[in-house]
Amino acid sequence: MTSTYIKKRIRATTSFAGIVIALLVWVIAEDARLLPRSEFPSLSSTASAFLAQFQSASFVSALAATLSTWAVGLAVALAISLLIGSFLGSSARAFRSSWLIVEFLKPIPPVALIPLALLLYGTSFWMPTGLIIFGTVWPLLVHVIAGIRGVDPVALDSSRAYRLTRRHTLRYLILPSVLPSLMTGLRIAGSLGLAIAVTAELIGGSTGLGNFVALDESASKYAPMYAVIIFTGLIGIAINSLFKFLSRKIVPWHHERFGASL
Amino acid sequence: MTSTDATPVELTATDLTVTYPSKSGQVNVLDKLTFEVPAGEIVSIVGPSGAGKTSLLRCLSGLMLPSAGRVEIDHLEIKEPPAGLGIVFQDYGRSLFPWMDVRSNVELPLRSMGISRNERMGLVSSSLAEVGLESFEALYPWQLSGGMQQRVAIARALACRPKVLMMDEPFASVDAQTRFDLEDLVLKVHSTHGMTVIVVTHDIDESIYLAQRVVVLGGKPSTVREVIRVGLDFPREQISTRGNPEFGNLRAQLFSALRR
Repeated sequence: MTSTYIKKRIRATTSFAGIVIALLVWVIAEDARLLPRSEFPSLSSTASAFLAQFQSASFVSALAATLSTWAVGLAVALAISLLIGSFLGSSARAFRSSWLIVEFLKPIPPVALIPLALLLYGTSFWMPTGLIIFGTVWPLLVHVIAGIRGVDPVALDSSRAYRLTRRHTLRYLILPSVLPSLMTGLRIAGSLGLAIAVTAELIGGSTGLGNFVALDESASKYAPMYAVIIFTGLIGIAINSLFKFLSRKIVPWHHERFGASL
Repeated sequence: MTSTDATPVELTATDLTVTYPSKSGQVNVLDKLTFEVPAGEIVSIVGPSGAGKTSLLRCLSGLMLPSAGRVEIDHLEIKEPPAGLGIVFQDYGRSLFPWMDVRSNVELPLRSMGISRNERMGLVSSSLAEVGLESFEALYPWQLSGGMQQRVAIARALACRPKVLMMDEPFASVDAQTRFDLEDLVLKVHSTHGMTVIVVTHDIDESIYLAQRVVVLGGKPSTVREVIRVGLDFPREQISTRGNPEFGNLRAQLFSALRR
């Protein structure tokens, strides 16, 4: 017990070591004047800009805008992929007739659709949200389909042999079989959705953290700009940890059985 | 047989044929199998690996339709898994649901049958007690050994008070000692409830030890080579039954039927 606890502590410490080293490199580079001071602000000025952001009402509202587009976009994409995915996953014919379209649409980067989204929605809420939906629906869809097609045939035989009702089969076999794969899809889509949100705001100009970066950059306010970029990275880590945590709560058997480090 | 047990059923297979499509046309796996399983008997079906034993059990249980021929339970053709079927698969790790604890796994079929909560509690508890797992009901299947998981699968079947219990290579994935224990459990369960039991196995000794009748499959495609009556007395016992000269004779007879 104690030794695994110590191992865990050591592992947690080593994952912070990388950050400490990166910050040290920053300070050394800054002291040695390796980087032009104008474009690369010092660690201390970035840190104070970081803290100052929380005092600013416009930063807080930008943060709220980014997070709400992210959440709404992801929720809509999830609903769409559950709906379409459960159909495509349960019919081999539907799957065969649609995979080419999916494979064609999947690699289109959402960034390429920013002009189209601007044309449709201007810089409103639905511009970045629409792009998030478009970008995250694919990983979600693929994972829903994989989850449904991956329902164990022996488990399915058991449910048929014991004449489980349709409702019980869905609730106690299909749903729990799909969840581990769905949680993986959500984690991928979560990080991807954040990147799309920030990109759409940065290039498309709708309200949000990305737009904040763009405005600071054009005003040559580099310390606050880096502060926002770092903050975005922190949100990414938070989202990832959130889904990791949810996954352990929602599909504990998956982690127990396979020791999956989802 | 206790009062809650269902009347055992008779099962017949007539000209049962299974073919699968393959690259080089149709592959015939089972060819016109005809045999009967009398009500309340234990019948084992023995054959080498690749003899289509699993396909046969899937047809007998109504999980799969044969390409030709028919399966009847009490003279009614079955087209889907019938009510009153208990089933145990070789792969216990996949047939039990890992997200449900032992008790819920055993209880789920009863819920689908619409049995009241009170009655369910009684059936689940008595079935778990019968397989010796009454104190493990709150654990998850993957927290148990293979043999214990297979006991859960047997309890799940028993809770339904089946008219027929079908088992597909049920003990092929457990160690030898556990295998003997589970064989004796099946015999005990049969003598308590009196249901019809069909066991598919590749193990000649097991097919004799468990059954009153052995259906021997062989050839490509598989046909019924022989149906052998096993006259050994009940209750059976691992050491004395297997040591019985009659056991040796039956084994020789089965072996030559398989070899032929």
